[in-house]
Amino acid sequence: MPTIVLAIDAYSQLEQLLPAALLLASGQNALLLGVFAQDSRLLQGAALPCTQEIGANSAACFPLTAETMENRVRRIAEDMRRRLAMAAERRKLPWEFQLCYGSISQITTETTADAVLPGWSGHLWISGSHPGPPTRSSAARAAIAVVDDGSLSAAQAVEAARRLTAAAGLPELVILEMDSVPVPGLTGSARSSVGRPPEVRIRVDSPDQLMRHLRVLCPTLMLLGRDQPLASDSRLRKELFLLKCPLALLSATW
Amino acid sequence: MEPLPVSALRWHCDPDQFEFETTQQCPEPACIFGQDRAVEAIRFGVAIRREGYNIFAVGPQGTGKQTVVERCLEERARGEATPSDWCYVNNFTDPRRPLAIALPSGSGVRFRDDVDELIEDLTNAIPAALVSEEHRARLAELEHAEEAEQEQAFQGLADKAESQHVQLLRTPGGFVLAPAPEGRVLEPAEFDKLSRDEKKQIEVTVEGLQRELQAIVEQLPWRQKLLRDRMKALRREVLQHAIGHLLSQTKEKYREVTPVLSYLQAMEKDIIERVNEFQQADESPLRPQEEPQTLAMVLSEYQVNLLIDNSATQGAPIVYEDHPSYHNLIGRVEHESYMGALTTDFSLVKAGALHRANGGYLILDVRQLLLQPFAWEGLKRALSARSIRMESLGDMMSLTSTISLEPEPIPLDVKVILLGDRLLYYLLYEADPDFSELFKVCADFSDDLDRTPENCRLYGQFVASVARQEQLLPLTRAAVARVLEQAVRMADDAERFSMHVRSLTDVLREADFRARAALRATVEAEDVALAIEQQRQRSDRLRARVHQEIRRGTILIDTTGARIAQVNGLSVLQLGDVRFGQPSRITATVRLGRGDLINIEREARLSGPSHSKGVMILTAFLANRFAQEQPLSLAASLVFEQSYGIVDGDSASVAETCALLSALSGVPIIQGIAVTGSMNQHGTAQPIGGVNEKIEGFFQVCADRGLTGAQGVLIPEGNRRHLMLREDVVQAAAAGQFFIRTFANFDQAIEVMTGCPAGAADAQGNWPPGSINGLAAARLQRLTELRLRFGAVENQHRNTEVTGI
Repeated sequence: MPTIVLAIDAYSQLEQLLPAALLLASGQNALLLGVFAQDSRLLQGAALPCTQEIGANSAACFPLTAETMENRVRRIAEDMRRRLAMAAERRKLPWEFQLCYGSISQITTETTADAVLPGWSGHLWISGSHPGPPTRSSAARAAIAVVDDGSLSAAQAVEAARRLTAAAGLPELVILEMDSVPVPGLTGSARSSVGRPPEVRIRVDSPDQLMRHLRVLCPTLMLLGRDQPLASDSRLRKELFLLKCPLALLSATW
Repeated sequence: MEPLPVSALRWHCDPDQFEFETTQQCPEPACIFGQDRAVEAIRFGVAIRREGYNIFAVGPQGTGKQTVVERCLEERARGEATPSDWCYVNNFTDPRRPLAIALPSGSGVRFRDDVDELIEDLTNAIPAALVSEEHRARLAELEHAEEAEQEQAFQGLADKAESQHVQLLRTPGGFVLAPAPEGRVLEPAEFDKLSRDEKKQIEVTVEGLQRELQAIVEQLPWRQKLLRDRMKALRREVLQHAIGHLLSQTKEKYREVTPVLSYLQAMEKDIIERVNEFQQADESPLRPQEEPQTLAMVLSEYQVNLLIDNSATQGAPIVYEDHPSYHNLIGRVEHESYMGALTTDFSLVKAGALHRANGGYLILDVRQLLLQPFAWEGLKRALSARSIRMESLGDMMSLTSTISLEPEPIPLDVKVILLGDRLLYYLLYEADPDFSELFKVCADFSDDLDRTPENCRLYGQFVASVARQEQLLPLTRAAVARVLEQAVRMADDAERFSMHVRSLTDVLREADFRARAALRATVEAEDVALAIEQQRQRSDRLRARVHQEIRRGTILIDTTGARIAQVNGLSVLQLGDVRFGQPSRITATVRLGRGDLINIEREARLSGPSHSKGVMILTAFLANRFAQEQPLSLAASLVFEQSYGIVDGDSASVAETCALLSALSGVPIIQGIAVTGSMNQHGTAQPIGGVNEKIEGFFQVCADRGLTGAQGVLIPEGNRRHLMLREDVVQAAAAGQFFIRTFANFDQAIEVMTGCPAGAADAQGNWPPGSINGLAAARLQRLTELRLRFGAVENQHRNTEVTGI
């Protein structure tokens, strides 16, 4: 049974990740594994007498203890666990939930799951009050996007994206070709569109151009191979967060 | 007194006076016929343009008031200016008060269509502008710039904190600055091991950084607002470019119409102000219980409600409102149910009759108007204020608490013509002080018209005109003559034509029906006669039943022989459209008394005031004649035998006096003669009503039993001109089987009724012996003597009682 890890922390937007996770899992009866990262630095810092919490909306200072901080984090974790459980049980999918100390990037790096959906927490500014990206109507966000940089990992991601697009009944697949070199053995069938949803191929010459295209496309889901260089690109992660587009990193075993 | 000649009993219309063979050849009347006074009043009322000169057309039902009024109005309205079209549009500053816009007639439809087309264009242009790549890219640039600034601020602080061995961390509710001397957050135990100075130093550093962090966080709402303002300004700019040229084309088209131009400018401003709504209208998600507010729904608020469209009107409008309820007159604001609540807006404002007639004429039936609650008050208010203000009755009476509208009042310039009968006119005049202020012109419609040769000719044209309007077969001149005779009969006066158009039209329709049934191409006189007769037959059940009971002897009426103190009076019964005459036996008794004349009808409360007055008059007549120098020492009683309903009117006073004189004098009254007539205190005969029906009623009774040639009716001289008897009566008179005679005073009447001379008093007031008056006076003298004798005996008895003797 394949495993899909949702790497989340107290600031992750689970409502963005869950639909993508369910989409990935539904065709494969995969296990949904929620891994909640507790920031140990936070707990340590909260325990110090000189630290106070500055309110994100009020800018007021509040006293802080490790116990209150841990309780708050645990409550958030429990809420996320419950939501994951409801979503998985509705689709009759197996699920689990774990707590650990660390960060999302640690989980993403260290996990051996078949797919990882990392939550975005690299921001410092306030997520709730952010005006958000210029949104498109939901009909315009129906595409899955995948970056084809010519690597094997990319090819597998493209193939997975095709299957996913077809299974979900989405209208099209967007393939962003970046430094694309045809992979031996995959040229003919990889690009064949017979019996598949339409594919839109866009040539991208630089990461900046990639970001610009993503802003226009506002895809529903971005798929990358875990071995692709872009998989660890924080700028891409940030851009996808702003676009409210979840990122799924697929292992070679997917 | 000789019987009246046959020619005096009925007017015959000579068909040869008409210049046509059939009404097909008859020209249309050049003017409105027979209502000169009313027409002149209407024309005056219509022409004068002053406040309060509305018109009340007074007259009985069926005299053609509405037709005449409409014709007068059409003559004038054709040449008058067509009034403006009126629209209601949304008031963007106060949506509860929609604005009214006047446009030249015919322009309202164009304006509405132009705005609809503009809205359709905007429906495409606005989303295209707001979701264009260019716009989204510019918005994204703004957001990214702000994000970069925020990130820079936080990152700057984080870097500074790091340089001071402090780490900036996120918490679920905000931020925290934690000391991290070697890039790793201190543990509590490690912190405890620090010296006091070191701890103090850390605290000072953290506090300083906290202050800086607070400053950054405090700025965030303001920065968000700035970003929102910039984004809104950008959207407005984009929208302005998108809609500006579309609106400018429409503005150019209506540059001469200031209210429209103002509206379009306000519309443009409102669209730009509502840019966020347009953005959201195109996007989801929404709360599940809400319906999506589409762009079309938002833009529908800019539509135009065309309230009055005069594009098809030529000249001033003439409106007849047949159901003049309050809302049908003033207009209404309708409501729609939306998610369980009643809502409304400017598009649900509906016009009333006053709106449709604005700039023209409004015709109303006053009875219908007064029957509708609050309609009369609403009309008066509108006329007084010279504007139409829409108010819901429910709001006025505080019965409803839903949100409603107060549409801008529309100036009112209308001439109102009320149609009604005289009773309502005079009641309103007396009871409503506003009435005489608002309806200064009374157009009085005549019930009848003089029968002059010129009017005969015009009446013939009028009949022809009615026949054409009703699409009847053409009438021959003989048929027209018969119709004119019927018009005279309907007037109850041989010298007048009735102007009751409706009844006349009914006769024509039925005559047409008879002619068609007989497969004729024209309506003949016999068709008209048959129609009239059939009308009478249909309503004849009651009369026939009464006469049947007379024939059977249930109702006792003598038509031969002579009786003392018994006379055949004549009365008319009217029930609905039934009107017929019948003889009534009137009897009198006399005895010794003190001059009391008992009206048994009055005692039984079956006497109307007019009848009671008539009896009092005849009492005065008797006293005047026989009691100048002596008391009237009789007690008499009068009664209508076998009458158990209300008796009113004084037309039997002559008959009653005849019965009394017969009772006094002992001279019998000829039963084959019936008498009708009123008289004054001096015995002068006065005309009465229904003379034709009365004569025909007695004639029928006599005819049923077989005419003897000695039977007839006595009528006042003043009624001679009213005679328009049935042909069978006229023919019987011509054959000498029945007679009609007239009398000018009571003495003439009693002579005919008794066959005895009445007698004339000499200079001493003595009546000839053997005359009616002489015999009556002698009887009264004996009664006086008896009374005196009995009076003396009574006094004697009274004195005996007092003195005890």
